[in-house]
Amino acid sequence: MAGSQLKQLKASLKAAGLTGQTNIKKKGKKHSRKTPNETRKDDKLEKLAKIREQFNPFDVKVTRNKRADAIAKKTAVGKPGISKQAGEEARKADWDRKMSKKNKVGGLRDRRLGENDSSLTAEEKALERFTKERQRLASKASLYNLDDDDDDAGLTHFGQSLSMGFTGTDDQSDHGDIEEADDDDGEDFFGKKRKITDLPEEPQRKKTKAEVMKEVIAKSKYYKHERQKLQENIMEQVTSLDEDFGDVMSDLRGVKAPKTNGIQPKSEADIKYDMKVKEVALDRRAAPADRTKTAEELAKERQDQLAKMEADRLRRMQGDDAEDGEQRGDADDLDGDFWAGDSENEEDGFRIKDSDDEAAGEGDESGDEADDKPSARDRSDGKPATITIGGKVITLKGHSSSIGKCPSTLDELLALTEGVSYDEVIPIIRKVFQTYQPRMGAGNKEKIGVFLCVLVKYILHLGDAEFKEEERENYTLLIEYISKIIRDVAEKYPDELLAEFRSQITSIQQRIETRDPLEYPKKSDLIFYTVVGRTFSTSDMYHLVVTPTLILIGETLEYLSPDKYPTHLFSGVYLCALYLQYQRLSKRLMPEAINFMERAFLALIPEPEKLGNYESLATRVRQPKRTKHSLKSTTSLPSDLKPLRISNWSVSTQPQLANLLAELVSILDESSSLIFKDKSSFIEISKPFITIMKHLVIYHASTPSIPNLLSKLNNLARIAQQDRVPLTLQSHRAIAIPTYVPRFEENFNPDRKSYDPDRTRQEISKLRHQIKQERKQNMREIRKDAQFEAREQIKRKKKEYEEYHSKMARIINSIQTEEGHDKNVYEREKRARKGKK
Amino acid sequence: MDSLDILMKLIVVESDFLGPNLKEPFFANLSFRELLKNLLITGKSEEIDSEDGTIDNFLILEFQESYYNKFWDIRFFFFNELKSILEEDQFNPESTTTNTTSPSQQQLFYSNILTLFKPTAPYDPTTVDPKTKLLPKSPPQPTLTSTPPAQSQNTKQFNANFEKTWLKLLNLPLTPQQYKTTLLILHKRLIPYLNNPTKLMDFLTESYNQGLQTKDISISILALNGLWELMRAYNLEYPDFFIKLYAILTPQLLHLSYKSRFLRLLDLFMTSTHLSSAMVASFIKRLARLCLTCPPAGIISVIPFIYNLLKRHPTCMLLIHAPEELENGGAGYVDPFDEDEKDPAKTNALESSIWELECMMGHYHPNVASLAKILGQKFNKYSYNIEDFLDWNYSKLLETELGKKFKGELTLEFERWDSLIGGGAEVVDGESESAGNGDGVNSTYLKGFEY
Repeated sequence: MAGSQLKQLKASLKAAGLTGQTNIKKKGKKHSRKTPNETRKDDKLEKLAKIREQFNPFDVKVTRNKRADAIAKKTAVGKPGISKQAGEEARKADWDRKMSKKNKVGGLRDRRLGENDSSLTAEEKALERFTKERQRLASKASLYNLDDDDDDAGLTHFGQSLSMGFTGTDDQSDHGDIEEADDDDGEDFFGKKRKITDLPEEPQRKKTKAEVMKEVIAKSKYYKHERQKLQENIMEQVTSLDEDFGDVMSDLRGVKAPKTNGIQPKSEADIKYDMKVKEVALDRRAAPADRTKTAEELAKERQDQLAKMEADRLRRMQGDDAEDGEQRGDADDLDGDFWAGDSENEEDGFRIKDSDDEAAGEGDESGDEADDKPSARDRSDGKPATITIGGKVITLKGHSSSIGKCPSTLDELLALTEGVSYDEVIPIIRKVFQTYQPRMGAGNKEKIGVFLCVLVKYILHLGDAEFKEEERENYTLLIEYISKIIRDVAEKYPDELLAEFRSQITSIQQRIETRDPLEYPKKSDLIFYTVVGRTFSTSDMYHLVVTPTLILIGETLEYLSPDKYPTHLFSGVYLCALYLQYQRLSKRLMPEAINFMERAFLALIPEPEKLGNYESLATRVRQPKRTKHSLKSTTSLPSDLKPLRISNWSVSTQPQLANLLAELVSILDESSSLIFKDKSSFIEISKPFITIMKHLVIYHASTPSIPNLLSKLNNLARIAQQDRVPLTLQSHRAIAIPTYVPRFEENFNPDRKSYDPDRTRQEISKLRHQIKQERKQNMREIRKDAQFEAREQIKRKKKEYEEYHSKMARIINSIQTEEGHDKNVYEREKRARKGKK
Repeated sequence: MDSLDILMKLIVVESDFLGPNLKEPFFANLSFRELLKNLLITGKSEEIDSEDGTIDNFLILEFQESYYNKFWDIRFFFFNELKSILEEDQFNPESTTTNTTSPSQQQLFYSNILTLFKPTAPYDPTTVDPKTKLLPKSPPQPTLTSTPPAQSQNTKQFNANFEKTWLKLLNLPLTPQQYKTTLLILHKRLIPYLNNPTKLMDFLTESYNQGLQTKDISISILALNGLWELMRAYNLEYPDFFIKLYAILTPQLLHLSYKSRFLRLLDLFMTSTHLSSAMVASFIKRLARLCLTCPPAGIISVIPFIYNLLKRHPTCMLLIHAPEELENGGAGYVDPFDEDEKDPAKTNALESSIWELECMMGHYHPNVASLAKILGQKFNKYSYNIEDFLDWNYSKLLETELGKKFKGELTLEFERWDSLIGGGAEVVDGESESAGNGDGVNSTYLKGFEY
């Protein structure tokens, strides 16, 4: 269409047949006449609307998309005005429906006081309810309240009201009530009479609601009054009875009671009965939980506990530092065990058995402040206490000497044990623990904590001490006992023990730093490492005591020179064995131990200068030389392993050296099957040892352990060789390289939304997109709804306001009219009177 | 000692009065030479310190304290005359005269000089006037004699003497300790005073090779340090450098206290990205092998080093990630690494893997283990700062451990042992009641030993 808007309009109107000549009769279109006028009119309107719409460019909205425009796609055309209108109408309908249902349909209406008032706190609500309640009660109780406007309960005579009709302001219904209330017509009061006489004149009209209510109130008041009267009567009677009571009592006292001879001796049956009753009363109620657990249940419980501990241990071994509270709880569980002295975990090993029962012990220890006097118990009972170590039962001699105070330093303990043989020290220590049981007095816990540290020092002191051959057994027992105690009590004193062990570690470190073979290693150091291993969980990845101890062991192994000092050789072998024990679960590698074992072998093997293929050794590049510990080629190895004695660690005789070599072989055997076997570089680790073993076999082929070990190492190495594959440590997803150039899509297609080759991922992202869209839409709808509601409310309020005001205006208007009318009447009257006059 | 005193006084008197002219400066050269000659061969070879090759000779110490350290002219003429002494027959190894001193005597001689020379520098080179090469006038150097010759003020002259003397001295047969000490003081005490430091190259090469031959790699490491200095400053060329470098990677390396010095240098040498990856792989593989027997400090320094190398030479990632072989089934795979090969370019290390470091993920020290795990993680970090990892040792590790806070957990061994240390079977057999407990009770914590 061309031309101006007006021309266009004209043209389109004309085209629609709305302007120009109407009712053109078209030939051959007769039937169109049949169409009724109404529909024609509608047609016209429709056409007009269409034209209007066509000429209003603001009613349509075209979403323009530059890419889509370029390829001449269909554009979406929206009609915002219309759709808005439609939305509005739908909302309106909704709203109306809601409003019509409001307060009519469904649900409970909460009419509790203040329940819907969010500005009130719970307390205020309660207060309000309380006051309301009180008010209600008060209004009920206001029977005798003179201010009460309820004058029915006013003056009465024999329950009848004295108000006699001329209480003029009272409306009719009131009298009707009274008439209803008392229907005997015996006593006629004047007013009443008149009323009654009035009554038949009127037809029985229906009572109004107010009348009914009045009636009900009056009735209830009447009944209440009756009740009160009754109550008063009762009270009167009670008081009179009370007054008479004294008299009655005095009368009663006057009466002689029949003579009885005090308490009658109870018959046998009675006594029995009483006893039974007492028994039943005192008997504890049967507690259902105290069932004796069966052996299987006990075993299962123990199994569970162990499994839990094992799980904890595993977790720590992996190094996941999760909760520690549980661990503490664990320790607390075991709390009582040590003191009780007969718990189950004591049972399986080492037990302190008190031959007298617990109660006696308690009685004894209650008098702990008087600890300077020798305990009565130890002497009084003939049976001495026993200790079980590893199946041996040792009877302790009754040690009756007193313990002055809890030893707080090593010197004090040494002074206490001076001149006492080793076997008598155990009772002393036991005595200390008994005397200073934490539950026996305040401060004892701290004392025992200190004493524990002293014990650690003492065991190290003992480790260094020389002892005679005949004392060996007792000495062993003592050390075992102390280490056992340290392990058991450690649960309760982690802080003290940690400090103590740390100070020991520091002192050992300082001694290592001196590089003096006399200063380090000492026998006590070996004992120390062993005690640590026994006490603490060595498989943990991180442990506050074990990790430093391991570092120390590593440093020691690095520092020791097995070819120079026999003590070094011995300690090294000992530490290797200990290392094996430490790592028996966690199987961690200690390069120093590998290194040391090799060096120790080289120091011990006979004729090292003939060792072939020395290049394969891991520790040296030169042909090893003969050392002063090299075995003679004629020395034979012991066939069975005898335990090596720490006490003669400095001996370097041929049998001792042979023993050491045999021990070393067994350690290597065990460690290769326990630890090295699973390592991916077993081949590299075992290579030097295979070389050494090959050399050793030449001299000790008759000793079965050596050829066995050699073949074992060879086998393991062969298996490792078969299993060997290159590492694939970086098998995680490749690291993305960030690009800053926009990606060029090869087969670009504007219709495609995603180029993701992964179908599932594409699906997921599509769904995610949809969710987002939906969410947006819904948010928009909700917002519109809220706005609509707000608008409606405002509208309603305005309407109400208007209504109110118009109503008020109307009322005022009518009053004014009335007034005006009355005034007019008055005026007229006045004028008329004037006129009369 | 008294005679030393008297002799020195005589020299002073001689210098003062026996000169051609009383006013002319003069130093009693000949007498001083005789004195030195006799002084320097005193002492016993047992007195040589096994640690650093110096000698505990009281005469020398006295001489050093009363004269050498105090007086400049003594220092000057010391080197002046020492040169002449060394030029004499008895120190000339080629001379056929029977007068030649034995190597042990020469070592003694050398340690005497070393003792004298080691503690202090001859002069402060920063105060020397760069043009005239004369010593500063303002704080006059204390001299023993009242009128020393003018030439003694010239540092150039001194340096010439000094250089000749040292080159001669270094040709003497030295003990390993003397080598080490000399190499240690090389940078501070020797090179600044030489007119032409490249002349030291022979000595350094010699000691480097000697270190490799005697398998005492600490000498080699120290010599390497000096060689590097020369290569950097004087463009020295060195054949087969990397082969010799590779030879230093012996099992001792990570146990030495010089390891950080070496690793720093190695890091420097390996900075180039133009090295062949086969060679770099050999170095990595060898270092990893050394970790199997070395203390944690060594492992701590090696792992970040290897990380950096891998980062710099991504082809070497095959050492930790070679999935092709696994795809082939992995059967029949044999580690192609040739550990006896001397040339790092020919060891086939690139087709191998560093299982050794994978093992270290199970190291007993938790920090080492977690450090080893970085090889299994993404290589996101650009590089590690090597310096942070080099200077660890046991006491430092222990200090860190002991510094940790106690957080309430001190977990205990839950297995209960009947006894701590026991002889084995003899104790166990009585143990029948505990066997039924299913506790896994091993009755003895540590078998095979007793008190």
